[in-house]
Order: sequence, then structure tokens, then C-alpha cells
Amino acid sequence: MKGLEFWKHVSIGRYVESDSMVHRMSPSTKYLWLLAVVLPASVSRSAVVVAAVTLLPLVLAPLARVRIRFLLRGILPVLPFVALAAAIQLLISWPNDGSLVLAAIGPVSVTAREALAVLTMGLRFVAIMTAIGLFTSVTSEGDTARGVEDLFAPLAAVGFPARPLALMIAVAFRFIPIVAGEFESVVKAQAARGADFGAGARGPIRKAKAYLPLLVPVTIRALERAEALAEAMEARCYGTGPATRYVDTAGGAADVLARIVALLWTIAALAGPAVAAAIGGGR
Amino acid sequence: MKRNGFKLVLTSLFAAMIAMGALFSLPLPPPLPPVTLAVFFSLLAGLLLGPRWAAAATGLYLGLGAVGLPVFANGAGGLGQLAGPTGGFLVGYVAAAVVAGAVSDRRGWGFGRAAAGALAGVAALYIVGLPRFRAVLDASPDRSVTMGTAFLMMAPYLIGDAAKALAAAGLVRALRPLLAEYLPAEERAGRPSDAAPASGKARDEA
Repeated sequence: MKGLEFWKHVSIGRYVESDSMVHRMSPSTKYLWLLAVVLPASVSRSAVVVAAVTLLPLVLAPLARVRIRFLLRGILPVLPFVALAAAIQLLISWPNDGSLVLAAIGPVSVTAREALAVLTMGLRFVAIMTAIGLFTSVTSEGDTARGVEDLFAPLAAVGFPARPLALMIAVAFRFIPIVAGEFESVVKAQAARGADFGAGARGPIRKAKAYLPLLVPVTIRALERAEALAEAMEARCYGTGPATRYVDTAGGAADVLARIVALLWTIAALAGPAVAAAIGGGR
Repeated sequence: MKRNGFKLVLTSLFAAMIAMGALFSLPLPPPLPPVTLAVFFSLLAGLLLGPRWAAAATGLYLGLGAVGLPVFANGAGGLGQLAGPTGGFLVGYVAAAVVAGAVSDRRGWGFGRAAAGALAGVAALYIVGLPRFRAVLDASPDRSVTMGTAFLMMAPYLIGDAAKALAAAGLVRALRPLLAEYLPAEERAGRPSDAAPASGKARDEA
């Protein structure tokens, strides 16, 4: 149940109030920058690109007056998962790996190619988590939803439900730590009554049965929570007519510039390695 | 519109619950997908919310995972997971939820229809997930994995998923009075907004 602990304490979703340059950017600009890190970090095969996008949140953090330690603390609880994945990666040797052998203990050897792959994997993870952590610490919850709506606004003209989608994403984000806390308290309550969720030497059917008492309260609590939130929304006239906005999030010239830079960065990060290879191959 | 707001919130909550369900997982060595409760919550989303909202809930979950949040089993996240051997099963959650929602009966909340829906959902999960699983495994030149082999590798999961489906259906049956109150029958299926006055009345009486 380590994962639950992680989700209860992630730095994701904690807005840090400040009046920095980064905070003042419009939410859709912040989304584009988030994408500028997350997209190359998840799809790029180049270690250089992954390293570059990992640095980006760490460079932007001082500008946003967010401490880097705050961002890094959020990733600590999942490090065991990453370590496990890294260990598997190192243990399984690749076919036709002709790269330099860095270290060898018995049949297990660590080659340069494996080390690079593990390093890249770790950096990917750090980049994504710090980028999301930074994004949420400079974007208030309201802005998180407004940004989604702004990004999808062009599609709203053709009937795309931009606003409900924005609301759903905001609610889902907000509820993840709460649901994690709820699962945990139910697990603990059941454990206090003798339930065993650990890896006991029992049959799979009995193991599955142990989860049933967990699912009922969690589902009922979800229905109650949804009802409470829906009533709170209805009390604020949700769904009674066209929605208006109090906050203007269009942004100024600085935002337009920042958006263009973010798009160029993303394109460069995605297309860069291919272009570099083409130039290198041409010589 | 009242029920629409409620369903919207419940949909988000289900996305969060699927994400947390993925944490209750029994990791197995790759490329085998882990056994998780995420399947259970996807099916439950289908049974409770109906095909359209369930598609939104599972889609939202995949979206959160695709942008890099570690909401997939074993703390994984990112688009790479969707492209991997088990990615088809992740996409299959949407199919499972939609099929479960389409088959199930969200008026009487009976066990039979719910079980049929959930089992059909599991079938949809495998129809979407298996070809991808086989294709990725088969991609290595020194191996040839037929559909039959891939299915045999997955057969133990199928038993587990069928058990989850029956559990989800049992849960729906057990919560029948509560569901009748929270999710009253709609006047016309698939058009939640049309049903607003009638469902509002049903709630007042409940």
C-alpha cells in the first residue's frame, strides 16, 4: 500500500501563492510549457533531449520562486518503484549489446547502453514529476480548469464540451489524494478488524474475497461525495444557464511570446535528434 | 440538469478511483500485465454511469496517465505505457466500461443484467487488449506468438477478471436501494438532460 502513501503526500495539487513572473502567466501558457516538458520526456528516444527537458523545470522553478527541494520531495516516495524498474532493466541483458561493459558481477554485467537506458528512464520520471509539481504549484485550482477550457476553446465552436471537460479534469485531480486517503482509511479499518491485505500464503480466491469488504464502503463514499459536491455546485447555479467568467485569462504580449517559445521548444525537442542525425549523416 | 452535474462529478470520482484501484496491484514480471483493481472500477463505472459517462471516466483516467501521472499499475505513467505490450488492455478499459454500460440495466439494478454487462465488458477488454499484446510480443524476430498462445498466457487473468465482473455485479445488486436514490432511472436512455424534471421528482420522493 506504499502507493497510497505516495498519493496522499504528493506535491501535485499544492498551489504555492506568490506573485512571480511565472505565476502571472495565463494558465493556457503554463499548460503549453507543461506539455513542452512532458511530451518530449515521455516520447523522445534521445538521452540528450530527455536531459534537457529535465533541466527545464529546475531552471523555471527559481523564476517562479518555488524551491527546487519542494519539487524534488514530491518524487521521493516513488523512488522504490523506479529503483525496481531500473534493477530489472539492468538484470535483463540485451541481445547484441556490443557496448562497453562497465561492471560485471558473475553472470550479471552492466553495459554502457544499459546504464544509459536506466539513466534516461530515471530522468524521464524526474522531468515529468517535477514539471507537474511545478505546474500545480504555480497554477491555482481555478486556473487549472480555466486553462483546459482555454486550450479547448477553439473546439467548443464545433460543439466540443470544453467547459465540462475542464471541470471534470479539475475535480479528478483534486479527488485523487482524497480517494487515496479514503482507500487507506478503509484498508486500515478492515485491517484493525483482522483483514489481511498482505501477501499471505493463501489461495487467490480467498485473497480476492478479502477485497470485497473494501469495495463496498469505497463505492458508497464515492456516491455520497459526488452528491455533496453536485449539491454544492447546484447551490452555485451550476447548469442553470450559460456560464460566465469573472477572471480574464487571455494574457498579454508576454504570454503570446512565452507560448511561441514553448511551441518552438517542443518542436525542437521532438524533431531535434532526427535533424541532428540528418546533418551528421550528410557530412 | 441536476443529474448531469452529479454524473459529471461522479465520473471524475470514478477516474480517481480507477487510478487508486491500479495501486492495488499484484505485479508480475514484464511483459505480463499486473493484476489490478482498475478493471473492477472500470466495469463498475460502466454499470453505474452508462456507456457515455463511463467512456468519459475511463478516458479521463487514460488521459491523466498519458500526460505522465503515475496512475497506471506499479506507479507507471506516460504515453509509453499505452504503446507498450499491455497498452491495449489500458485502452480496453474504455471498451470494457462502454460495453458494460450498454448491456447493463440501470433501472432495476438487477444482478443478472449487471453480471451479463460486466462479463461482456471483460470480453471487450480482451478483444481490444489481446491483439496489441500479441503484436508487441510477436515483434521480436526470434519469437513467434500466435493468438492462441497469447490467449493462453492471458487465461489466468480471464478467470480473475470474470471474478471481478461478478463482484461488480454483486456490488450493484447489494447497493440497489442506494443506487435507485442516487441514480434514478432516466426517461429516455442516453439523453440525461431530457430526464431532468422527472429524475428531480424521483429524488424528492426518495
